[in-house]
Amino acid sequence: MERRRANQQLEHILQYIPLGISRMDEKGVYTYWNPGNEKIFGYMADEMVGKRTPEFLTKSPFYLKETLEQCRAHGNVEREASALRKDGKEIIIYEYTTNLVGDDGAFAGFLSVTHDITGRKRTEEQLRSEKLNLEKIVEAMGAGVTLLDNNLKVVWASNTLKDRLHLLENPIGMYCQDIYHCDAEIRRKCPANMILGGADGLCTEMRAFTEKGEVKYSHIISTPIMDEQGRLKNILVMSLDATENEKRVHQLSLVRQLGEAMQGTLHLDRLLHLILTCVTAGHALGFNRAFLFLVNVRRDTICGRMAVGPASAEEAYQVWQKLTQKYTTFEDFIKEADYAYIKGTPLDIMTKLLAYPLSQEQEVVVSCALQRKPILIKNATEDPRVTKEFTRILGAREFLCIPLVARGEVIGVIVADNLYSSTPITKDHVELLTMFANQAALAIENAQAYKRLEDKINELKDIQERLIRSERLAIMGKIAAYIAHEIRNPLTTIGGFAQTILRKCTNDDSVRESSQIIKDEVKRLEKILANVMDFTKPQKPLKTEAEINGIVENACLLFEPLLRMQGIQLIKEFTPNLSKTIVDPDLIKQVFVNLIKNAVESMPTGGTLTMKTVTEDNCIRIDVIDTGEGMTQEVMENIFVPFYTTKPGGTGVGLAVTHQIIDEHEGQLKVKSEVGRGTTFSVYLPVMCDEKKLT
Amino acid sequence: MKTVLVVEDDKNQGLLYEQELSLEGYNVMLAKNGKEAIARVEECVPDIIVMDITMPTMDGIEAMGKILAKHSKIPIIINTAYSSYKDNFMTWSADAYIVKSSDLTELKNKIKEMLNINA
Repeated sequence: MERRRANQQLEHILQYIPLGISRMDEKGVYTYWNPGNEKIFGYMADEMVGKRTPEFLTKSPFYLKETLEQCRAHGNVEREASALRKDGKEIIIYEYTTNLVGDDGAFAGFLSVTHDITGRKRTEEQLRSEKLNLEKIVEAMGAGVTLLDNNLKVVWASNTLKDRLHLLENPIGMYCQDIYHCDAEIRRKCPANMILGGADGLCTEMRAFTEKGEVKYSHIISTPIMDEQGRLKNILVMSLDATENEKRVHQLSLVRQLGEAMQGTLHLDRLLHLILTCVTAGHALGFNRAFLFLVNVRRDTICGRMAVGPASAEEAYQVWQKLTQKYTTFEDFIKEADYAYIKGTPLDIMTKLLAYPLSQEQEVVVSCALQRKPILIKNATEDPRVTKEFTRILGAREFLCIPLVARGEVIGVIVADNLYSSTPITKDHVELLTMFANQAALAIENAQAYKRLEDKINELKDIQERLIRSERLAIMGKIAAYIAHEIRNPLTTIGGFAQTILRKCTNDDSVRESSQIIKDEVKRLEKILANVMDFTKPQKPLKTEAEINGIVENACLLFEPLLRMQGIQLIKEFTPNLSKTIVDPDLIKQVFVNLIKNAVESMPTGGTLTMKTVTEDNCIRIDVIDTGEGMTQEVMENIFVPFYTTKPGGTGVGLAVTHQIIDEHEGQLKVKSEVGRGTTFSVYLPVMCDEKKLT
Repeated sequence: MKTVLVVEDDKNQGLLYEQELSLEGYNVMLAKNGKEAIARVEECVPDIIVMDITMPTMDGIEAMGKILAKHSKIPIIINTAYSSYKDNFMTWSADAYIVKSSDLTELKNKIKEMLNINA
């Protein structure tokens, strides 16, 4: 009774259970096929019982014999498989097969439980592809996505992030700060931390370091994820790489800094150095070499002015290494950089020799200036815009020409290349250098204006000094003249009477002797007075065309006996056929007489006197070089002050007069001296071709 | 005997010229300034005048102008401590310009030369 009820119940379960249940004999022939199976496969029990698992049921290859053998050996077997329903629909089934044991304990066939898992599988499939899609999207976004738990441990991280931070191991399970290498400062500002503290979604900018130690800048967006109870469960951290951006911002800020430094530099040469150094500095624009050409408006040419860059690759390496070690920040570099080292390098000198008329449009430098547009040459040897000559001089295949435009005028061109590193020049470089060039051009323009101003100021100063000097001379002259005349009159009387006595007393030798002494002394005094009075005498030069060598020769002639006597060797280095000048020959001769006299007096124990004439620019320069005692700085400062003298018995007017005469000839007198080595006076006389100058 | 008028405000210098020129065989007259010189010329016309320039009361240039207006033939030698008067065209009407010196040779030679021309 009990058993019947149990059987009935079992029958009931087998009838209505939503699982397929089937039984097979030891050969795999179905002996039972419940309604659940009928539902799953669409085949009725009478279609299946007495048959082996038909081929048509399985879509994928199915080896019944092996499966059953496996089951017998292990007690059970399970599998997932695709199958075809009777109506042709494809389904996925899960089948669990177990051995059946009879009452006697002997093997009695197999029991299979089958479950239609098509729906579940589809959902799973869908989920998987969605997940893949999501990952693809995340990767396409270029964002590093990390999901953190509420201990800031990584639950999931996107590949992008792993790549970007060069993570070597799977970050899952690690603490966020360990993969980002955050220091305390960064941790304090960390948005994930703030969310833990109760903040809402946050967007911040952060600096992080990669495993390789590179600095990365990221925009970080953190979003809290809550569970159903509203408790914080996860934090989603999205980080966007802003390094490129940051680099750009950095470069822009450099250009700005450069701009400021440049606008603050008014010394033209220093500024040009600064500009070229910036173009080549690793800190800034980072070209290997840079050349600066400036337009010369007066001559309608564009001339090489300066160049920065090592002469070889090794030197390049050394120079930049030195600079990098010396200056850690760019500000230091600008402030302290020693610009002197580039002056006079072979590259610099070579550049100074380059000049192109603005009519030579085939020259790339000229066309860049005329078109006012950057020109990027990728292959110089094949580019028709570059002449062979320029390619040869530059030596670089790839280079960039940028015009310097200030206030609508082209003032020059910068040429930059990467001869040593062969780094390709990109559009970014062009843009950056153009931006830089605009600032540089303005700064150069300013400096040039300043230079003009400075020249004018110097000129004014010069005129003022001359005025002061001549004013001083005038006053001194008046006083001197007054004193001189007041003295001269009684001197005339004294000397005259001494002469009278000398003539009258022919018999008394002692009186004669004394009178002679008075007479001689008066003569000496009169000579000094004559000197002073010559100086005070307002005299206009009488200029005529004259030959300087002749005048100098003449002055030397006067001193020849004295030079021999004092054991001074005279060396004459005259440049033959000097241009004629328009001077007052007497006054100019006086100049050389004064200078030679000084020289002789500075060599009481002999020496060498060199007289040299050369042409320099629009001047004739005459050097009077002695090997005498030389002068101290203090003496040098005063030698042109009237009545200043270091010689016993000197009047102190010689050099003042000399200077005055040279001033009247619009010339210049320069002096160099070294104590114990000697003195060089250089007289510059302009070569005049203007008839009007003749007075 | 030729007469020389020496116009010189410095007393001692005047004495020197008087002595020296007398020794040369001239009759020497002295005047202390331009005004006195004009008066002396009125009294007795000299053969030659040696004229200083800077003097009180009336300077040599003014006196020279006045004397020459009446006696254009008298040779005048300017004898001054200043060389700068060479540029003053008023002095150009003088026959000679001598810068004072204790050595009277130049003055003596000039006087001789002038008198010879006029003779």
